[in-house]
Amino acid sequence: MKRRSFLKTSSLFAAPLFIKGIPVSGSPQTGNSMLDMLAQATYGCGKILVIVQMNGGNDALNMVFPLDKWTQLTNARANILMNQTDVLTLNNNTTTGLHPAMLEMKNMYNEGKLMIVQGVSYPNPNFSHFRATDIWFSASGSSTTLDTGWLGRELDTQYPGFPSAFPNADMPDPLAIQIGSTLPFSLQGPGINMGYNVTNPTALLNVINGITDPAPNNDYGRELSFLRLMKDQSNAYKTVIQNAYNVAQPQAAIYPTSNSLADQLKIVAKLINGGLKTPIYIVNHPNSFDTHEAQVDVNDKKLGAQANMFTILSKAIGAFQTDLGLMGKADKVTGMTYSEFGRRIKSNASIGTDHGVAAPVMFFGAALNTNPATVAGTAHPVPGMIGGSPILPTNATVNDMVPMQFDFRQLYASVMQNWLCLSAAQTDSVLGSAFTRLPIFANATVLPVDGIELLGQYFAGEARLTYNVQENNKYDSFAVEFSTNGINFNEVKRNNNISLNNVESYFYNETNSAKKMFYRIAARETQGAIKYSNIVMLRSNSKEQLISVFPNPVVDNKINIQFFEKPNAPVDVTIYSMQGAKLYYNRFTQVNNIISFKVPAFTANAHYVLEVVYGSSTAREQILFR
Amino acid sequence: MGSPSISRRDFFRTATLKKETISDDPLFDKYSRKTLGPRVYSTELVTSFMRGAESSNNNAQSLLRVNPITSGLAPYVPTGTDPWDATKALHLLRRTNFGFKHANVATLVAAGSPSAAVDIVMNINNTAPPPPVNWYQTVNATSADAGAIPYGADWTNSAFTYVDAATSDLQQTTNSYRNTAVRSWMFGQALNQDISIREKMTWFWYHFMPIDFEFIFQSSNSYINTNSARIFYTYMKMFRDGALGNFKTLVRNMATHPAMMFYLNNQANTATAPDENFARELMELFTLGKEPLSQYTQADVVAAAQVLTGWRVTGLNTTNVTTAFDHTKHKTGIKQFSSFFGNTIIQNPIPTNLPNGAVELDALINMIFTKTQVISEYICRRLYRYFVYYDIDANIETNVITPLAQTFVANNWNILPVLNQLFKSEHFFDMANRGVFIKSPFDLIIGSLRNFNLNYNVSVPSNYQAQYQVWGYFNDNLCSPMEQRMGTIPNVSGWNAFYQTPAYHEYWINTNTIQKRFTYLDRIMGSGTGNGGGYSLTYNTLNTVIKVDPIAYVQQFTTIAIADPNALVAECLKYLLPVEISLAQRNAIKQQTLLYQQTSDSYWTTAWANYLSAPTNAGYLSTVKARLQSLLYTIVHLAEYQLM
Repeated sequence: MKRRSFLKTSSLFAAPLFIKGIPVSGSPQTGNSMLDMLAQATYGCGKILVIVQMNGGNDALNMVFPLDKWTQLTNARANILMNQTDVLTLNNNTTTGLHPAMLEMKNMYNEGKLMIVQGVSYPNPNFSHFRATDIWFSASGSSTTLDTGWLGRELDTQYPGFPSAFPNADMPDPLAIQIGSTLPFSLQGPGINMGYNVTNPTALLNVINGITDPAPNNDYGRELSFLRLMKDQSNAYKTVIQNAYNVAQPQAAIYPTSNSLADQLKIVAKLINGGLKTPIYIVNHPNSFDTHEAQVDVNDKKLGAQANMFTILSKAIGAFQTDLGLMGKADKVTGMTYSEFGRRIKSNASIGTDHGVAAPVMFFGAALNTNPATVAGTAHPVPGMIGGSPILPTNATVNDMVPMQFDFRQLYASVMQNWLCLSAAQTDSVLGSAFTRLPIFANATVLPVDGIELLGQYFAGEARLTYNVQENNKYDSFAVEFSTNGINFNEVKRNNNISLNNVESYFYNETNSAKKMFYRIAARETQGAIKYSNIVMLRSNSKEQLISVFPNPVVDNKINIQFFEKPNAPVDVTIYSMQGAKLYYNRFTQVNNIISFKVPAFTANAHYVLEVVYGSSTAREQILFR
Repeated sequence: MGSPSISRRDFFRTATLKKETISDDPLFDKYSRKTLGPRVYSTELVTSFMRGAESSNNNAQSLLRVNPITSGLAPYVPTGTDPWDATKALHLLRRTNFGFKHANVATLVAAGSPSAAVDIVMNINNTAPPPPVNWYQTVNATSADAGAIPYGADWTNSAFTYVDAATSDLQQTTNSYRNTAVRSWMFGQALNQDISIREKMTWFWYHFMPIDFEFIFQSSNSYINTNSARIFYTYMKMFRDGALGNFKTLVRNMATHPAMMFYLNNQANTATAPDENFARELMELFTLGKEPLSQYTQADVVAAAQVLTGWRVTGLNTTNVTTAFDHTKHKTGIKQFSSFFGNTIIQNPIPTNLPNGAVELDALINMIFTKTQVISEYICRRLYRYFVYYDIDANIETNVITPLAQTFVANNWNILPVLNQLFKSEHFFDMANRGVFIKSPFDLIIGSLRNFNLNYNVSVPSNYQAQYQVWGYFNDNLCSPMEQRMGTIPNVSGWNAFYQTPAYHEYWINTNTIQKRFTYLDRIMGSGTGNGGGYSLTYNTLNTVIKVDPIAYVQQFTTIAIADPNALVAECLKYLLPVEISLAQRNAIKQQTLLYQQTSDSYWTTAWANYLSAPTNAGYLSTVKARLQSLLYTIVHLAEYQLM
């Protein structure tokens, strides 16, 4: 009878049911107002990180070639080195070339969609695959061990309370998704493993697919099938993942066949296209890069085992990037490829290379800091490359290593703060100390994303929307889309382009009384591609939109708050960190429609929550400091 | 329940007849086995494994065989190709114990034969375990025992009588703690069981002739709210002491046990208004069953209810609680039974003596037990469904149930020979019966706690509060949400997993409970809040961490096996899963866990050797620990781990 009542309520559920004994079905609140506030504030960061793991330790000297060190390479590894003329050259980069199997990635580099960070490792490197992998995963130093993975800690910081408070209305989707394979250690958070692994969303039955025996045709097999099915059905994220996966994609890229990495990235693309707000995806290169022997074809050294792996890598990433462009989400997604270590400079006699130290990490996507004009004159003036061509000894011995230029935790810190919306303090807290950030991302500080900034307020029974469009002349119309849950949007109004101005503002008011309202703008380019704005959430209840903070991001620490009703003084203004720490407070006793004040310096490019309280009214806004 | 005689019974009837449950749930509709067809073998995968061979490639569809199961009660005699080995010893242990200890497997393998192994399992130590104690003294300032029983001492002979209202409140508080003590103590008994079948058999009897602690405690009977714990203890003691004893004796003792008197309300059965509740369940659930041959009538129930009038629990507020017969409340005159019972008449007195309740009750029990075939087959089916599998097809009825029932009758209702014959049989060890049984919550929780050598006993045994609360945590916070709890029964029919057609043990599993099962496994494998995960339980200042030590776990295997990742995966799977999985899947698990995506076995071997050379080296330690944790996590996350 318990079972029956349970099933009655659960048969309607949209996402999850009971996690760790706490029923969360249909409840939009976590029950903790601080959590609600934080989740609300981080909502709409909207950035996605896709990690491509190249397990086994990639010989990156045979991938990202230091063209300026050809003599050193010839001296160290003649038995595996291809002809220099076979190496693919890169625009604006005389020192560096790519393996000829990486045509797609070379093109991405030349288009500013690939960033090479040279010489990434960590102090006192470890040559064990296991230890090195653990260090990368846990973001620990080589002398310490941590029980949790860096991404797990990142997610735990951003989404505190997982899993008891998740999924919820603000974050209905998995916090991280690993495609195929078992869950990696990097997703192990302090509380619980944060990932949900999915092999093929259309057939979730065997969650760890590929390694699951088919059930035999007998009683054992029938019980096994029943259990597998029920286990699968109980997964809190099954519905959202399947729904996202099944959203139609008007135009999709053609992925290479017989390429397991491409298969995995295609699933990721479909989930992103379907609007899943999961910020982190992990895919695995199918082959082992542990090339102690037979790394190249001795008859033609640009071919062979490693070349095949690069073909898989490059074709898969190229198709994925194309796909993201077609769905208009290229600048919401950044990819990162890495291997747990590089290999020796000097090759061995088995036409292979042994375990080494530093290697480049590659980022890909449309949000990278690769504009030649922007990077000119900076510490890293070569567009698409951070760090220099590796310094190699003239006659490398077996003990010589590619030197380290950057600690991998610098990359992590940059990703967390400049891509995944964590504050500087949160980032440092996740990594245990402050690491110098690297200029990997373009416009890391710019709100909004995508050149279409949607602002909204709820006042007098209306959702009042304003959107500012950059490159306005490339769009022919704008659809205002509305949703009650932030997932399924419907068009409520279409505005045609009103000018050929490069920057234009549009307004739209809609009478609405939904408790929570989500709006976004779908801008249609003249070629037909759709580009989305940020999503704005409005509330009609006691937390209705009372204020507007401008400019946002805040410039020169000067804050202006506009009130949409005359507040009863006094007005209390408080600024919280994203972790809930109170950082600023002031009481204003004389208030008209606007209050303007200066605050002490806050960390630039970090998010904060500004709270205004007067009478029985409370309003909050997420703000960013420039 | 003050006046429960009619409504309660009807309530149970409607509660148990829930056909609509199934049609409500499309998933269940589709996947529960609505009709029980003939059971079948088998696939090449399974048959090759039965031969003791490495499972060959299992995609050889042409080799699939589907045959009826024909094995019977003939003793399983090992052969060269079908030897007595750890796999079969594990099957016996999983079905007759709650999980197993590593050493148990070695003991049974060393016994040398299935017969000798079954003898070990059936050899019950008849010394009753020490009774539950005062664990609650230290809970707070007012939790001292109202009967002045000291901390750590046996309270089972301490009775409470009414003095005044204030004292009564204290007594009730103490009794409430004592009720908890019985539940926790029972859980501790199961966790600390020896290799014998006693604990699993105790819970067979409990669910077969159940009482619900809370129901009785809340009933309106005099003195019950201050004295219930003592009769709960003696009721369970009756089953533990008679676990493999005489069934008829057990039924007779159960019939007048105070706890059952309260639970099925024979306490209120009186001449002027006979209460049919117990009389009906005595026939329908506890002896005859309701299968086709069981043709007792409503008139028989009424007559039996009249026979049973007049019994009253007395002395509940004294150390000498008993059920006595009050002839003034007895329905005199003849009780006429139907032709099913040969038109038996039970009459007392004959003709002028005062009524004698015991004589009439004995006559009733004797009359019921004349239906030897009906009772013996019904009980054997219940035992089969508890120990083997739920689906009894025509072959099994003929080859197993019928001869087993004859053994039962021939041995004058003694249980031991019946189970001996079942467990030593070819049928019990038949590959068709391996791994088909969905673990009950007790099997999963207690079994995993024991298999992984978790800290279910606290480090300071004299900290009774911590000990009882840890045991209570397992029962109340882990098992109960999975819908099985010691001392709590959904209704008089027991746990429906063991009797309810058509899904039987599949009723344990729904989208809610299965999530709890995997959450539990995640937690013991190291997920969870707090430092390092696991369950961290602090009671009475003593902390107990329930978390698998993966290194210690694998060190139960040979050093050679641990160093070889293939052997290590195979050993873990042998002990943790009921049926072997394919070589391809074993290799995939090895590569994803022990080798972390590498292809060379030597990486694991080296990592393990490094650890052994310097066990305190943090890097070495964390490398092997993370991989072993991942291995065990992956295995227990397979749906196969839910089967036994």
